[in-house]
Amino acid sequence: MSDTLFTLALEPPLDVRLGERYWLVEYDEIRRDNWLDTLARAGLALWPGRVASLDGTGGLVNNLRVWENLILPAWYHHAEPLPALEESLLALFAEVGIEAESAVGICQSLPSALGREARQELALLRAALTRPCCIVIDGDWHTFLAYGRGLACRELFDRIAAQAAVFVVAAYPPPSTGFQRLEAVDASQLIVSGTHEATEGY
Amino acid sequence: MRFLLPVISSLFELRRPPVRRVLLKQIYFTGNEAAWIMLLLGFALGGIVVSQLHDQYGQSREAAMRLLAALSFRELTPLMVGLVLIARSSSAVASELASMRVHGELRSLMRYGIDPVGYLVLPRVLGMTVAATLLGFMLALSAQLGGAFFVTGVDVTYQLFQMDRFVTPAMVGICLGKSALFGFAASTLACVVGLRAKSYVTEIPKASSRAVVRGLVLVFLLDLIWAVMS
Repeated sequence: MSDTLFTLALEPPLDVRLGERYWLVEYDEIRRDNWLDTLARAGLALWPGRVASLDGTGGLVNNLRVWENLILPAWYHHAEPLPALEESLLALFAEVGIEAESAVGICQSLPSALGREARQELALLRAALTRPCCIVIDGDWHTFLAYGRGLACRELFDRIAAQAAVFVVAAYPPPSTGFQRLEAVDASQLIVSGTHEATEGY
Repeated sequence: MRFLLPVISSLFELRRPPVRRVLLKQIYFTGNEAAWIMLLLGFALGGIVVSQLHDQYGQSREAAMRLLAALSFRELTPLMVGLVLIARSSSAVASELASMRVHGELRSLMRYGIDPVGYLVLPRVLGMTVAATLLGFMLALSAQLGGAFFVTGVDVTYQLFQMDRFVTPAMVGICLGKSALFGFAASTLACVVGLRAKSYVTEIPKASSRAVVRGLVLVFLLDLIWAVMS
């Protein structure tokens, strides 16, 4: 696999398998955002409504309550009944070690009232609720898994990542092995060139 | 027109529950929360117009009420609804959308495959249009009530029962149509201004201000065009 060199077709069908992980190092913030947009679009073409995004700031909508933010993608795409979504959400809160009582308090607040780490944690719950086949991750969010509340979220992240194609676009190389290396040829073309070596582990 | 086509074609998005929720919230914020203001403004407007007609021009009660009906249903009410909507809702919508753009929330929604036109623009435009139509009718009725109160005092029953003599279905149609048009124009403009804001925090108040100023110009121009055409 380390010698693999092929172009990743960003037009449908996206030629990736569930469970594969890709990492693109991009130092420029604007280009990082553009790549995340492009990868999400490519994923949506193949798996409509099954793409999740983990943004550095959480990406929650500030004028919606947390509960509405968390259920929004799943409710929008799959129109699941609200009681079923509520049940799934409480199960996800339990999975990251937050009790139902605290979860209710968090759900009723506005995202702007929460800290960055809490918003990043909630972004993961929102992603998990969509049962994604493709996850696009901002490197700023990925560092969250290395410390504090992120450690409690790693199990949930690994569970959903195992069933999805994962794309991380970061300004730094991956801290652990298992990521295929993506390289940008130009503004619209990516090639897969082997695997990344781990740098400093979490 | 380039902006209107996606809004119209995204009507299909109303099948999604979150879009319907945003629509209902928009009707509530624009319509329900402004209802008391409109009732008060309408009542005051009716009183002012009737007292001017009655005192300065020596109109009879009936003629004053007839003129009030023509003025308020055809002209004053839709214009006032447009102004209140621009002051209350257009500025809020534009700053809300600009803020979402600046803080990357819009981008995040798009990465989840949530269509910004279907989820953000359509329910706001539709909600403000519906609310403007209802508010227009309420304001016109309230103006009639205010006028009747200033003409006859507390016992307004007789004047209200005579309303079908002053108010024709055509007048009501014009009132509803104009209010809807102004609501639609103001909301569409607010969404365009909000979504076109650049990605700087300083753009948020600018978007709000632009939505108000351009909205006022647009509503008055539309009213002028309506007057010329009719």
